[in-house]
Amino acid sequence: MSQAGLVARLAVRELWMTFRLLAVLVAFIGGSAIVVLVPAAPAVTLDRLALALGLASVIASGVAAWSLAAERTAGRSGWLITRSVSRRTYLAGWFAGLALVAAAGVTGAGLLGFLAVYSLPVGIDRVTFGATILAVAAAAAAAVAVGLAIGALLRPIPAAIVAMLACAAAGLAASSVPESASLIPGGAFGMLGDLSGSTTGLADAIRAGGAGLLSTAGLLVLAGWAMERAEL
Amino acid sequence: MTSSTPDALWGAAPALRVLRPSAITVSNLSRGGVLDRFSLRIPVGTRLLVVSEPASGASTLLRILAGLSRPDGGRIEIAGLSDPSRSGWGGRAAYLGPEPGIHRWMTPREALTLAAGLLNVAAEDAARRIDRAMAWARIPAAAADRPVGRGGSPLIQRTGLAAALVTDPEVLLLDEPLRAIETGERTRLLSLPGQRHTIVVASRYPASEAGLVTHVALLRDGRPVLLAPVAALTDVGLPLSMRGIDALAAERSARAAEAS
Repeated sequence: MSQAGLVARLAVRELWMTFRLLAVLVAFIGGSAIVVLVPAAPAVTLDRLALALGLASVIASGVAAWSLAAERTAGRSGWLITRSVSRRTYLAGWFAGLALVAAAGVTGAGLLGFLAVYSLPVGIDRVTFGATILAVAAAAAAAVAVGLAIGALLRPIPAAIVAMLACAAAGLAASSVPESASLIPGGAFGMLGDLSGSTTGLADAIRAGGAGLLSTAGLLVLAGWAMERAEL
Repeated sequence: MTSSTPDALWGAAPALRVLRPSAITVSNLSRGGVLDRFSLRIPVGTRLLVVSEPASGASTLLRILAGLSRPDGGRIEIAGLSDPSRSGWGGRAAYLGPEPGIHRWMTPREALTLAAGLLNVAAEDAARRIDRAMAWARIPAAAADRPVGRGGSPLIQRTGLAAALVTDPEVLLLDEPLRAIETGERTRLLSLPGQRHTIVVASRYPASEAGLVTHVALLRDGRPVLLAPVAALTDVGLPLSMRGIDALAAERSARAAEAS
């Protein structure tokens, strides 16, 4: 197995042993389960689902920041770096581990949302719904990347707080400019909420997914830069 | 001949030892106010104690050599290679710090398997190396498959040492290692057999490294002011202590001033 694969597996095990994996999954799937179990019109359910996924992404970002900062300050990153793992490989491994958990959460939440919404007669295109969920997953990946970038710089508690505030701010910024929402990673959540109003099309969803992936890539470059300079 | 030359050759052919290739070469290394653009060459087989004034200098030097801290400038070569990846010197050098940084839920065997996997050691070879490293670090068989956290600091530190030794590194960087282990046992654990291992120890307690090191270096204000065999201390009746090393450095400096 590659070094990045070994680090990703170690990251998932560390998240599991410290219950942080459970926290992220519960945030995504548990939050969505509560939303979809409360009877409401599809438009309201989608609005609530978007809010639940947004909050879960903020939590995922905080967990990412906390985790990387804790690994760094406890010397556990250093142990791997002295085993000839490069800092970028280490970061890639942690991103893969956290993004995998977040993706599993978004998939579960999306499935619950799909079952809740399509159990009623609605006129939402299923492909657009799927594409919007993928855009949400890309936004969640960007949230994880924000967490890692901040976790490479600060100590655990400040890192978690700053990462969550940064993600919440991005979400609020996206909701304040709905016409450009597809170009802001946090906009994917708003688009999911507006899905029943037929203002969101497939092209918007794909654009939002692309913006999310682009932001993730940019943030990972930033995180890599911060990690290269970090004291381990 | 490289620093990878097997021990058997080092022992059997004195002429090879005369060549003394460099295990570690640093040029113009600088870091904040702690290391001040200095160069140093450590020949293969040297067991060097590094002490410093202020005390953080020696530790910072080792952390930079291990890749944990970034220097402001300078060049580092270990085993003749400047590439720190596993195909470069990453696979030939190991570092053990005061806190090994092993996850407490890991068992010693898991930690060693991971260490071997990260350095691409073949599975069949890894099992043999892991058993040998655990035997050297005296990790009890009963503890090998239990989380290291249950064994407390001594087991974590023994596991850290075994993980460092699993790939049989040519260069071992030790920063205040194994402090949770009794001195006699600690010296035994760190006294690696063979002549090709180069060991660099950063310590604030030089006396505790007696029997482990052959040379001593003193960094003052970020620059080396003394690099001498331990025998140079005993020859003039000085102890292997901070005061003794300081006195030897002062004596040599005075002698150099007289000669000039």
